[in-house]
Amino acid sequence: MSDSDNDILELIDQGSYTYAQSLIAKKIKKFPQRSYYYALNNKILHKLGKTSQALQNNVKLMEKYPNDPQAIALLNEFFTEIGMDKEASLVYENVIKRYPNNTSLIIEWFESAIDKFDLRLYNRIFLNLSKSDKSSRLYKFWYAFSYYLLISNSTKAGLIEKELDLFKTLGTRVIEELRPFQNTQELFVYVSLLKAKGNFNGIIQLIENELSFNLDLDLKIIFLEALSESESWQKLFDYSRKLITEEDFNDFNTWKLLLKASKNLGLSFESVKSEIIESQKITRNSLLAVVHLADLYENGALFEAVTTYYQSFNRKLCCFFDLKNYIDKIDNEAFLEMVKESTADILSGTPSTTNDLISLVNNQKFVYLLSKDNIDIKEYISTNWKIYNIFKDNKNIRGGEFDNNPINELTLITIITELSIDDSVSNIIKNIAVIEHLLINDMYNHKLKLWLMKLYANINSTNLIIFNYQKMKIKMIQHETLSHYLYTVNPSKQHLTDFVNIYRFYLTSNEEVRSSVVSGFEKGIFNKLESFINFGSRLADSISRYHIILTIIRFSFVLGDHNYLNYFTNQLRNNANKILSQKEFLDNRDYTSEWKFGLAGEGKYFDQSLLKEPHDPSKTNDSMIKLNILRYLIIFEDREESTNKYMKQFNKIASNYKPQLQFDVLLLKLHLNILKLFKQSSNLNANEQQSILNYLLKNLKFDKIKSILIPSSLLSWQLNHNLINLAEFVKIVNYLSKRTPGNSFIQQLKPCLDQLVKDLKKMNVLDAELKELESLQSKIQITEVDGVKIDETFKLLHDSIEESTVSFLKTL
Amino acid sequence: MTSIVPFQIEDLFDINPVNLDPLTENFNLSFYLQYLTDWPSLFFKSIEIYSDFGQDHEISGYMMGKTEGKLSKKEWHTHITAVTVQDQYRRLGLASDLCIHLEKMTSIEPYDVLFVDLFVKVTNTLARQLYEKLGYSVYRRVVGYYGRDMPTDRNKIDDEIDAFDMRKSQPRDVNNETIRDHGDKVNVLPQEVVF
Repeated sequence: MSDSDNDILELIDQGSYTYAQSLIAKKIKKFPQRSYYYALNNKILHKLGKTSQALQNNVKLMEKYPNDPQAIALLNEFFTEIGMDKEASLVYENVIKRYPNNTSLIIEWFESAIDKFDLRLYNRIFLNLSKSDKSSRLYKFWYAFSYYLLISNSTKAGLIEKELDLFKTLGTRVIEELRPFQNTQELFVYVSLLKAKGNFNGIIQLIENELSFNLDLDLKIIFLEALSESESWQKLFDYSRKLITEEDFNDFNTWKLLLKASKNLGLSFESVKSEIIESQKITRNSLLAVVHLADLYENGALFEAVTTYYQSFNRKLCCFFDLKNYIDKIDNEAFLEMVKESTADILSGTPSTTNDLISLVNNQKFVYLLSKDNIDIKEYISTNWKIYNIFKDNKNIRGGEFDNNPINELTLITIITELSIDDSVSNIIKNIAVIEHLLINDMYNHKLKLWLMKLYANINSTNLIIFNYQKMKIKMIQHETLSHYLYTVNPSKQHLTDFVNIYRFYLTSNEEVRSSVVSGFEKGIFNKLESFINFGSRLADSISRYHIILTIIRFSFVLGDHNYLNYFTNQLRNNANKILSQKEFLDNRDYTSEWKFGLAGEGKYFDQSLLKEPHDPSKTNDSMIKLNILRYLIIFEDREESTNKYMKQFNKIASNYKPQLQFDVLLLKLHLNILKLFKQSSNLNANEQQSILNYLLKNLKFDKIKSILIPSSLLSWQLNHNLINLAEFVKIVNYLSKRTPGNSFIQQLKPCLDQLVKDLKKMNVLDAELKELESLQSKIQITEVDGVKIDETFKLLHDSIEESTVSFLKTL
Repeated sequence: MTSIVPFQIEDLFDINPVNLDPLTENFNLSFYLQYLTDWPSLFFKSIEIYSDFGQDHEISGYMMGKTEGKLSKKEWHTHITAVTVQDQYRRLGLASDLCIHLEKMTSIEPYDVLFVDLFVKVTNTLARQLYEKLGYSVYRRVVGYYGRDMPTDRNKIDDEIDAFDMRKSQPRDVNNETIRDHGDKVNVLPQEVVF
């Protein structure tokens, strides 16, 4: 590419389209045969909103079969951007048909296609690639591996049954001639295809007879599975035993297969137990192997095995999780009796060791699990607090400085149970105070912190959420899984910056994954590539990514800070076709870490819907994300054709979407009407316009909306949620008014909105909130935990509520 | 009921209970991806049978390792980059199992290394004891390894920011040439431990 070509690209990037066009015109005059300049010109037309013309030109250009790689890349980019994936591929395929040995062009095609994560497309590209360079062993593996990817992701790739069978055969056929395989990765591709075919004997023969290298972990696992599936019991017995005894592979899956083989070989329970398991060093896995053995042989020995394990490992936190897997198969009454005896025994002495504490924690979990809704909850809570108070000042019960204090595993269970009984604002505040207190001596306990953020999110102390989020040092991929804790954070200049900083993770993530997929194929690390591809796909179209973008745009509107607005709306505009054409956004949010006590979903006191509302994933879903994306696309769209298309989609999704709160329902209608009025007025006749205006004027009255705008408790998260959304609505109307100054409706709407804001301010929401907070202070008594500084918590909440509410109200 | 299985990049979506630990580093994506690409077999995880939330397992820990160094310089070795275990599964020997698995795997072909090494903070006595139990010994003290600034004086020791480079020789190092006694008295600078 010449310097002058680079100059043109720079001008396009800077948005200097007219000047760029004039330079391109000169180039075309000089080089009339070079397709590249025509494609470049069409790129500008597209940027200028003349997409139909650009499309027409580019289709004509494509029909001339340009073979200039730069022109092809531009055409591919254009068709991809407007959602014409078939044409995007055709620009490459047409040339490759004529020049089938052009390997570098096929590689370019692959690189351009990676982040589409389209497995059928990968397969087509690799077919061409393997044909283009028949001497390449690697490309044949790429091609074979793409069949494996298709089979392994058959639903996502939309494979029909016939294709599924065919691909299994085609995949192995491509690399059959390359035997013997040279390394574990090559072997992985072949055995994975054999596994897909169900040819387990084939896997065994290959591994037993043709190997000149050691198996890696992936292959060991596949080999074990093949031995089990093919019922090669003696071989399975020998191999799994060798792994455990000779190679120190302390692996429970291998233990299970050894026991399965033993049973199928007719070995007696006693001989397996004494000669195979107990001849080994006693470990957690070996004791659990006895439990599993008893379960497998169904000979009535399970209770004894469980008891033996319990007696050895009840001093470890894993004990509860391990035995929970077998609890439904044993005599619960007898087990509960044993657990209660253990608790009584420990409590009758002077419990002081870590072993005592962890045993009590496990026991209390068992008590809950085995009683659930029949539990005497008052007594249960009282026992838990009693245990807490025995150990609260014991400094010797933690292993290392950074280990969590096991007592708080139980304390959090108690807090959750209490909140399940009473999730009122005052009980939320009480438990905020308790958790803040517990964190003083257990400052790295992430479950305490997650629950603290959850509680802060349920009342209007939303600036404390992000404070704690940052204290947890959440970063990189953790934003993808945990940023939903920030859903209720209030708009402020600082928070806007915080969200922009969070988004930085996504700035590089696409390229990081893309280049790793390329590198993974080049290095032939087939046992990792499937996950690379799925990871890329899950991250590229995730709910969290788009939610962060939407939050930044919302904050920008509310705060009137438009520094980032262009960048983030362009993120949506440039990918609009792709975003709107996808069926669903992928959800990688972590809603489970805060519930990992082993009791989630066990009875009414451990219902995961507890205090879930502000972060409810069923509300922050595909429809909600798409509606908001469409809303912003329409606001920033000047092209009538596109606006109409977006409005149609908006209407369609809105008609099936159930918003979270009553005020959200109204707001959705208000947005719809305001967008019609500002962006589609030319499609409406005078009566329709007046009717919309009347609707808006009627519903933008404070008295009319007050009952759904202001929740019964002013401290509820719903208050700020509604007010922030209302503030955004007002700001959007102002923004649209400025962009369409001639719009006659503004003169009628503006006074109405001004009055609404005036009435809202007159209500003095903040004072009312703070009064409500103050009224609760005397009602909250904490008797269970000594030393909780409830006054400090109220001071913290007072300041936080003030700051969280003022931060956006002052912008109105 | 711990099993050891390969780590996949998608596991990053599920490792919060492990990585929310204050001492466990959350790297950028490229770092994890590089390890998976360059040393695919040396990045693996421990999992537990777990039935809550519709899951069939839970990640209890993981090991990130790599191989580096020149054989000709007698530096060809396995390096333990990160080994971490979730809070609920500590004090069970899980970290040891992960180390042993890495060691076994890289003591044979295609790796066949001379030794395995790792860095541990001088003040982290618990970790040091764990590794000593596994047969590791201090090879040298890396002065200022965890500090913000690049140190220049190898005699300016500081327990808070210094690391012990611990090693365990492997069968290929027949004469135990890659380890030494009293390594804690041998001070080096971070820039001297690059392979």
